[in-house]
Amino acid sequence: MKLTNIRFFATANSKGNSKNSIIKVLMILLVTSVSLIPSFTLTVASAVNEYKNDFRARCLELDPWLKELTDDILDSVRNINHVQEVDMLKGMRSQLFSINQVTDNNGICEEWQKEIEERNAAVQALSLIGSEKMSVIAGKDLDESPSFCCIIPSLFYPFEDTENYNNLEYIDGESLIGKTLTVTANDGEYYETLYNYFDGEQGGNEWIRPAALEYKLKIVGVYYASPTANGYFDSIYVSEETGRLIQETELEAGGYDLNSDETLVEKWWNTPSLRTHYVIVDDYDNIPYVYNEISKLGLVCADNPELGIKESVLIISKILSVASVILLIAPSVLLVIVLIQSTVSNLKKRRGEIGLMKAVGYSDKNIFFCLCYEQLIVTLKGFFVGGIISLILIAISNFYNNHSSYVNRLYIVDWSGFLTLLSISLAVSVVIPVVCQLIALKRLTKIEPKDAMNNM
Amino acid sequence: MKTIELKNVSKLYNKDVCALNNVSFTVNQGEFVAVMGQSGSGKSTLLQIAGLLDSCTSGEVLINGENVSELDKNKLADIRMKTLGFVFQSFHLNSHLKLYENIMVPMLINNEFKNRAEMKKRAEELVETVGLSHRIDHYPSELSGGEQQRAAIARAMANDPDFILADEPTGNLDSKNEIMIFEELKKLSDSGKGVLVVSHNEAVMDFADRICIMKDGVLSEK
Ligand SMILES: Nc1ncnc2c1ncn2[C@@H]1O[C@H](COP(=O)(O)OP(=O)(O)O)[C@@H](O)[C@H]1O
Ligand SMILES: [Mg+2]
Repeated sequence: MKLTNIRFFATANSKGNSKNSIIKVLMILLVTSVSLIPSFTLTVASAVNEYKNDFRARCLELDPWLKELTDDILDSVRNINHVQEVDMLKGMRSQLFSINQVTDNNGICEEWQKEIEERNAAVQALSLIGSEKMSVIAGKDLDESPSFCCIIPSLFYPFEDTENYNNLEYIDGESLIGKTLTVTANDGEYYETLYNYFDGEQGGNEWIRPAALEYKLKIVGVYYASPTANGYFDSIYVSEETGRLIQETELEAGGYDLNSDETLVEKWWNTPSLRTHYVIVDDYDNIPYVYNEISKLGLVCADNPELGIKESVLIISKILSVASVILLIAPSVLLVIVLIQSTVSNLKKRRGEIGLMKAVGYSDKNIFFCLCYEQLIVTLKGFFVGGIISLILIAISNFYNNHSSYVNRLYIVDWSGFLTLLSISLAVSVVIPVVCQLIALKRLTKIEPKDAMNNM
Repeated sequence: MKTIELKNVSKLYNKDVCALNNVSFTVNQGEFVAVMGQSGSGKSTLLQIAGLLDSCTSGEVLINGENVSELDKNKLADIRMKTLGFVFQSFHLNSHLKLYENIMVPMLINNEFKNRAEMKKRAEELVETVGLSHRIDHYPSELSGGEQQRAAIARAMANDPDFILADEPTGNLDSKNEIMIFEELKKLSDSGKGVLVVSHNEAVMDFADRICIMKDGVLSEK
């Protein structure tokens, strides 16, 4: 039997099933449950996952406020379960720098100069810690670059010229690779650093603010600016060595003699056991455990990692993952039940008609294909409606999240992932009706040609 | 000569009900044969076996000289499609298909039709011969019982079979429509088809070339 004839027959008959609208609605639900909801669930879950794996989200600050951090003590911290490494902060930690100039090989970039002056350009500079790596999506990373280089986010917005940070016109970070930023801390007012002290009984920390100097940081690469973890639209990274050099230069400029131990600041700089350390935990979820163990050692440690994740994101992620499972199971179970029921009652109702088809020469195979096709027309209609609804909703939501705050970028659904899920739901829309027909196949073969003679 | 031949056919249901008892019987082309008899006498069983809708317990069935006893389900379906047309008491028209589309149903599995336009043309011709041209685009629910049965006769003719087998074709109709149906069947036998009508309706006697009587599974010529 030719496909076109099967289609002709099935199209006419598919109008007749009273359960069709229920099947269509369930199908729409199922398609959205397979494509729309998991798209969001996966997007948020992968963002949360990415965040949890981020170095800075697993990194606890440890300070010598109750005890000096001697090698013995650091070793006992290293021996705590789930501790991966303990690193000393070698130099600068994080500093707000104003941008004074953007230059390239030909001198000052005029188009940037105007922007910088008018719009109060600034970046938050962070230096890497210990084994921390920041991979780049374009250009070179900091490992293979000399000191005084930096990497900037893929979506770069180094301006403080707006009240609300919605719908920013990000600069494509890649366009700045090769250029050099001339920066000074805090508009040239001062460089800011915390030093620790411990006098044998008590400790603490104090700010010192030496005069700010100018640095030239060459942009060598661009990192992927994920809205959760890896930085922010105005965060640039320098290497640990660059951070150390800046810190050292600033202290010397502030009049400290780094070869002596006279002042508290000099003593702090030259005594590793007085310096701030970072404890890197193997997994975000083990942070409370490690924090507890460190506290038991009589040490002061931050209970939260340097990089925080919004509680609401974690909650949304949990709700979505539960909801997506329920929404996946409920409509598919219902659909299978309704489909089988409707197939079976259909076969009962159409016993005479099907008997007649067999009498005039239709084989079981012919009739099976006709009935499958009939069912497919209904489920595929549901698929198209559900697919289009999902597509529109995701397009709207992506548009909104693309044009609102930076953190909302977290919820931008990746289209290729969505299309994969959509093709899965297409497969489901085809497989489920075929399976239901297969389940009912035995009843179909039991209908005999002579059933057409029963007076029904 | 086209024939349906039953040779010493017996049919037992559940090993004890003997619906046909050693029946030998022939339908020739161009012949209108009526089988009459009381309810339960075995008429439908005879038609089922002659129409390859069921198998016999013993004996032989030959369609145009070919013994069908050993053929499988699909081969039998193929013979039914090509050489036999059926009319039943229930019309079994598909309520979602228009009149001409219903007539096309048997053609959909017949590869001799190149496309559906050809099928539609054939359906239109058949609709005209049963006098329903004005109803061609109607759905079965919009037709009277007599019209539905005429549509069913047109459908039986879809693949131009050699024989038309009708089981109580007037069972659901009033007497005026009965006559029209028998007239249609008579026209078919006049055009060269072999027609076997099984009925307890005496009106068929006016149209039949040959009348057989069935009693308790035994067939006798009248
Ligand atoms: N499928 C069946 N199973 C058992 N007995 C049957 C079956 N079909 C018919 N019979 C019996 O066979 C006999 C002949 O039935 P049938 O051919 O339908 O007679 P008619 O068509 O003349 O009324 C009846 O006694 C009937 O009860
Ligand atoms: Mg009968």
